[in-house]
Formats: sequence, structure tokens, C-alpha cells
Amino acid sequence: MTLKSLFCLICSAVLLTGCWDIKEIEDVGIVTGLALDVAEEDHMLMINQYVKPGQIPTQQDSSQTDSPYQNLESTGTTLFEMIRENSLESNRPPNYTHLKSILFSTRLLEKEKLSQLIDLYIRDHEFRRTVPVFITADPVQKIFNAQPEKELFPAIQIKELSENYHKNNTNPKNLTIGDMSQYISEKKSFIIPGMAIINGNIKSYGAGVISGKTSQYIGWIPLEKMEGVRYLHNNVEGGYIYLSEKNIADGPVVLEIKGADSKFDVSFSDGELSMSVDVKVTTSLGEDWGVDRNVFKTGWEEGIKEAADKNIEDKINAILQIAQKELETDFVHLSQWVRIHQPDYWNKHKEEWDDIFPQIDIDVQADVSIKDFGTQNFNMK
Amino acid sequence: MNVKEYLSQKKNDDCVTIKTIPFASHNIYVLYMPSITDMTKIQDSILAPLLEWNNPEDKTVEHAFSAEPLTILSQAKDMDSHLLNGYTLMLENETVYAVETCGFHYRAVSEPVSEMTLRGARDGFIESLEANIKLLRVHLRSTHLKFEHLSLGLKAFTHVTIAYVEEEANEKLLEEVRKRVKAVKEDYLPDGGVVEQSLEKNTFTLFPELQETERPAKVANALAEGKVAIFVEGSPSVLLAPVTLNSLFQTSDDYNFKWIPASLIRLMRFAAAFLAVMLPSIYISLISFHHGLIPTDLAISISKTREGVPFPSFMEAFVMQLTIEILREAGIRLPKPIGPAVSIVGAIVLGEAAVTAGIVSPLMIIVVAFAAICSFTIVDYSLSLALRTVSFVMLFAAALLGIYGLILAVFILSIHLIRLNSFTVPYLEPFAPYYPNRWKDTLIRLRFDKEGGLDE
Repeated sequence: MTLKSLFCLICSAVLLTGCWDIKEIEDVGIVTGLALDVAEEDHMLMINQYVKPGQIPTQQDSSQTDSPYQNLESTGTTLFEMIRENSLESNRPPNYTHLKSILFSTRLLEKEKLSQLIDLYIRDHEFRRTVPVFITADPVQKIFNAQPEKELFPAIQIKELSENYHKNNTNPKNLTIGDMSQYISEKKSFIIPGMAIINGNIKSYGAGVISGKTSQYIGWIPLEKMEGVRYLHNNVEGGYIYLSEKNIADGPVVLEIKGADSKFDVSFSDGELSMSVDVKVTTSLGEDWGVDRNVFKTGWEEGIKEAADKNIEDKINAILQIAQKELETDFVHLSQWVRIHQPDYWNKHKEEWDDIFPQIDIDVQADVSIKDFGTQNFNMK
Repeated sequence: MNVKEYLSQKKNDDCVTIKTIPFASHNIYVLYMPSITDMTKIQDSILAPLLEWNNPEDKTVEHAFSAEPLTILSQAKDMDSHLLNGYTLMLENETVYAVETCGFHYRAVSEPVSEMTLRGARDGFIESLEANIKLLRVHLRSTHLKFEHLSLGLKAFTHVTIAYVEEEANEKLLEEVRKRVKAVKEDYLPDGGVVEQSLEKNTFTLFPELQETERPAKVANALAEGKVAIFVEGSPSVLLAPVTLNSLFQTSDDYNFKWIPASLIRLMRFAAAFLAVMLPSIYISLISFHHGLIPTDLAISISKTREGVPFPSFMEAFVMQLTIEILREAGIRLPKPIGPAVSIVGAIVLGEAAVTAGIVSPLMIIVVAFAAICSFTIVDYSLSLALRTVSFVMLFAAALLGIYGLILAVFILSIHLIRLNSFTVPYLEPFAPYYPNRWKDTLIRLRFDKEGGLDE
């Protein structure tokens, strides 16, 4: 009796589920990257970067003959249509479980709403919510056809670059498609890490701003101004402060950032909001071009500290200038501090935040402390 | 009992030697089987005293012997079995006496081949029941150690001895063992393995219901823990009951080394057993169903190595697993000096050639070979056989339905193991039923308490 029921159980498990979707890994087209751009006649262009496993160089045989990836371009009006069009050209159906990056072009995001474009990626279970998203002002073909030196696939190179954010402050932190869908549904503005082709190489290059209101691309933050965004997002984990001869007398100095913490405070008086941003930065003397400086003397860091404070304040103010005056949208997410510190005000006014934000007075204070000067002091006078 | 009839019957039997020692009033007949008796013993302790004895009228033959234990037999059946056990019978009038004179040939005590340990006692059981009990006594000197002797087999008898430590062994368990041993109705029981199978209740399960060991130290340990041991004459393997899955993973090395490394090694052994069962099936379900769960770099390199392999991954895994099993079997059957060589050469040559010929992907070889090596860490050979069979079931389940199928198969296996009992003890004890107090000697082995037992 037990045997009979066990037999029935196994049979029903096998026959009734219909889950017989065996698909060998070598029959699957692994897609590492996906790029979207505009095409002619109101169509969209989609590039799928497929892996060509046979061309992956191995240790024994490093003579690479062909590029290890294939970029399949297809055009159409919906994403689904374009993905299925792939099967006209590729014998291996695309599989997006290993997708490493999604690249949008600024031209496409000026024309189309991002919320519509990512609908498929959020809806389909094959796409992971952790896939990072990037934006570029260059043609996406150029980036997907660049030959990365250390990685095999441009799509993976893009992703790996963005993971350097704790080394360099101008590198924006990764934005995953999951975070993006969250911002879109909250109607918040945000930035997408930017990529560009410089001298034939892929380079992390600033960021593109997406408006929460229209869900479209509205402007670019250039590379040199990215630092301010990082301080306002409070995700600075590394980087450096360069102070030139103009700022300090004894010669240029580079301070290595060990850590930073931004504190936000919102006060509300006489119907006016005002914010203050306090940035505390811990640094060490990274590189010193001033030979006459004696770090053994107390107070050696006074001048440097003041210059560094100003340097950081300037950078943050520059970003606030862009956000408040040029683009008039809150892509640095100061709204959350208003929500935390002045919840009553926020509940009343959250609908018109985009109109209020440009008018707010924001006071920026930076406090740089130099904890360490390394193991070197040339000047023993 | 007719002694005369018995005597005349034995006179026609070539195997039995009959010596007649005449006395004034009557004759004494001495019967023995020369092939299984010790001649010098008979000469020194039976014939010599008998011949010297001047037979006072009022004394029976019993008085001729001082040291040798003398048994008086009353049934014809007993006389045959005593002869076959190597006893010498003395027939005086209507009385039959038996003296132990057996001279069976046994090999010397040596280290068991199938159970290797690094540290601890190296002696192993041999084919003699008596010697085995002596070996056990070496390791367990206790007056509470009790033996119950039984004979099994309807046509040819096999001596079986149940050993236990009084007050340690559960009376219920003991009753169950006695009941099952007495219920065996076989014509002939050639070895411990057959006895084991005739004692088992669950004949359809893959898992052993009794543990077999050739190490006296292990038996002594088990008896001290309250288990029951079953010795079988003519077999070096002693059966221990009850058995739990947990006890099959224990080895004496675990106790002979310090507890932290010993526990780590035991954990590793559990992990290796898991891998031996699951690794090939997890691998094929990942590469043929759930590509998204493999890290991208690995997925790409697997995809590359599998390019040009003509078989689906299940067939590949199945054929390789089968090859490993065949090599393993061949290694056991081949004569000792060439056995290991053939299996190593076979494995390397077959694997290497299969990869170069493009029939199998190199990763599959790694997976299957690693699983095979993992299966060698399983202490108990019956468990190893069971788990190897399960690994094939898992392979089919994975090929059918991927991870989903694997989970189904694991569920079925768990249900089976939970239902399983070994001599009234649940097989998964102390995990299911859940006795966390007894986990001190399960996945890890806690340190010994100086005051006895394992520390809390």
C-alpha cells in the first residue's frame, strides 16, 4: 500500500507538474548587456550583447581570434517585440538572468518616459532587480563595441567601473533597476551614472538627471561636479581633496578622504523652510608638494583645513546651484530630510515640493579634520 | 536415548573416530572428529587419564578428570552438535560426557581492512566466536557484560551470541533482539551479513538497520552505551543494534583526538556525505534548468566547456557516475596488488580520454570525481552503499525537474528516514524526534567532562 502510494506520488510529481523545461546551458544565449537608443522612424534600437562562449580565451590557449561577444541590434516599437526579433538572427534564445548592465541613451530618455521603458524589466521575472542602469550621451553602439582591456565584455566593464565608487568621489554609486523603479513610483528625481567613450575607452563620466515629474532626461552633471552629489547623498567612502597653490601658501596638497558624514537639519520658521548641511570629513595627508611644511609643528594643518573646508563647500554649493536654479528639481533627495525633520510640513506640501525646493535657503558647512600625515617628514628644521 | 544404536550408527561414519577403552565391567567409548579436534589435547587430557585410571567400582568416569569441564548430555541431537563443535564424547554405559577439545583453524588476529582508523586499538575480529568474545573482554572488563548463546539454522547450525551490558541495555530492546534472533528460520546462515538481513524488518529500505563492525573497541564502546551486539560464529563482522543515522557517521578517531579538531572533521564528514549524494544532481539541475543561479563567469566557462558535448548533461553525469561505480567495483574484485593501480589508471585514462574526445565536459569529470572522493569519507560501508544508490535517485530527480525535483526527492527521503526504525529506535534520533540534550555527540563531539560523560 505504501509502495503503491509512493509510486503514485512520484508519477503525479513527474506528469502533472509539466515543469519539464530542461534547457542545457550551452543552448542558452547569455546576454550580459542591453542598450537602448533611438532609431529612425520613431523606432527604438536595442542592442543585446551575447556571450560567445567558444571565443572565451582559456589559460592554455590565449590567442584570441575573435571578439568574445556579439552585439545583436534590433529595432521596433516595443521592447518585447525587439527581444523576440533576436530569434530571427540568433539560434540561442536570449537569457537575461546574467544581465550585468542596462544602458540608456540620453536621446531616448529625452523622447520616451523611463517609467514606460523599464516596465518590461520590472515585470519579467527573468530580469534581476539588481541590474545596474547607466546613461550615455554617446551612441550606445560605440560603448558596446569598445574593446575593454581588462574585461572581456564592455557591458561588464561598465558595471565594474561603477563599483569603484569608494576609491573616487566622482564615480557615482550604482543605481539598480530596483532602486530606479522605487524612485519612479515615488515620483522622485534621481541621477543615473553616466558613461562616455573617451579616446576609444569606456569611462565613467558624470551622471544624467531624470526628472521625477516627467520621468525623462533633463540634464547632465559633469564629471568634475559629481563630488558635491556624493556629499549630499552622504555616501562618500573615499576619494581625495586637491588643494592647489592658489589656496594654500606652502604648496599644493592632496588630502586622502578616510570617511565623511553629512548631517542635515531642517528648520521651519515664519513659513520659510531653511536647511543646513554639515559635512564632517576625516582625511589624512596623502601627498604633499610643499617642501617647507613641517608636520611636526602643532597647528601645521590650520591653513590646509580652512582651504579644504572651502573646497568642499564650493563643490556642494555648485551642485545645489544646478539642482535649485538650473534644473529646478531635487535629484539629491533633500526631501527625505524635510520628511524626517518636519513631517507636518512635509505632509501638507509634498505635492508641491518641486516648486518649493528651488526657493529653500540651504546653508553648507564643511569641517575637514586631518588626522594623520603619514610616515614622512622631510623638513626637520 | 539409545547409546548402542548411536554407537553403531557412528561406526559407519568415516569422519568420526571411536576408541574403545576396556575396563573390567564395561567399555568406555571415546568419540571425536579428528579433523576438527586437537589431538594432543585428547591424548593428554582424555585418553591418558582414562588409561591410568584404575576404575574403582563405585566411581563413574567423571572422577578421572580434574580440570576439564565435563558436560553430561542427555539428547541425541546434542551429541551430534557437540561432535560438530569439536567436542570429544565419552560413552559409559548409558551416560554421555562431552569434553571440549576443539581444534578449528582460524587466522590470526589482524587489523580489519574495511575500517581504517589512525589511532586506537588495531585488533580486529576473526572467524572464531570464542576468540571474538575474548577480544571483546580485552576492551570491556565488566562483570555486567552478559552473553546469551543461541544456535540458528534448521539444517546446519550457526552459533550466535547476543552480548550486552546489564543495566545499560534497555530491556525492551533486548527483548526485541531476542525475539528477532529466535524468529530466524533459515536452513543455513553462512555469514554475519545474512544474519543481519534476516534480523531486519524493513527489507525495502536502503539504509542498514544494524551496524556491522570488525573492531572490538567499537563493539565495547557500543555496549557501554547500551547497545546490543550480535556475534556470529564464522564471521568477523559483529552486528550492533540499534543503529541511528548519526551513529553511522561516528568513528573511533572522533573520540581519540581532541574535541575541536575531531568535531571539525566530523562536520566535514557530514558535509562530504551531503556532497556525495547531492553534488552531481545539483550540478546538472543548475546547468540544465537554473542557469541564473550560477555566477556569470562560471556560467560562461561552463557554457564554453560544454560546447560540442553531444550528450545532454544528465546522460553525461549518469554515464560518468556509472563508470566510477564500475571502477570501484573492479577495484574491490581485483587482486590486491593490481586493484588500486587499475582503478587509478582507469579513472585517469578514461577521464582524460573522454574529455579530449569531447564526449564529456571537464567540469563534469571534476564534479563526479569529487563526489566519488566525498563518498569515500563515509565511515560505514553499508551507509556508503545506501547513499550511492540515493545519489542516482537524486540524479534522476534533478534531470526530470531540476531543483524542484531535487527538493521533492529530498522530501521523500526525509519522510522515509523519519518513518524508519531500527529495533524500536527512530533512525534520525536525536534530530527527529527532537532531543537537543543528546546533541552533544552528533554533528560535533563536545569535550569529555572530567566527571564522566560529555560536557553540557
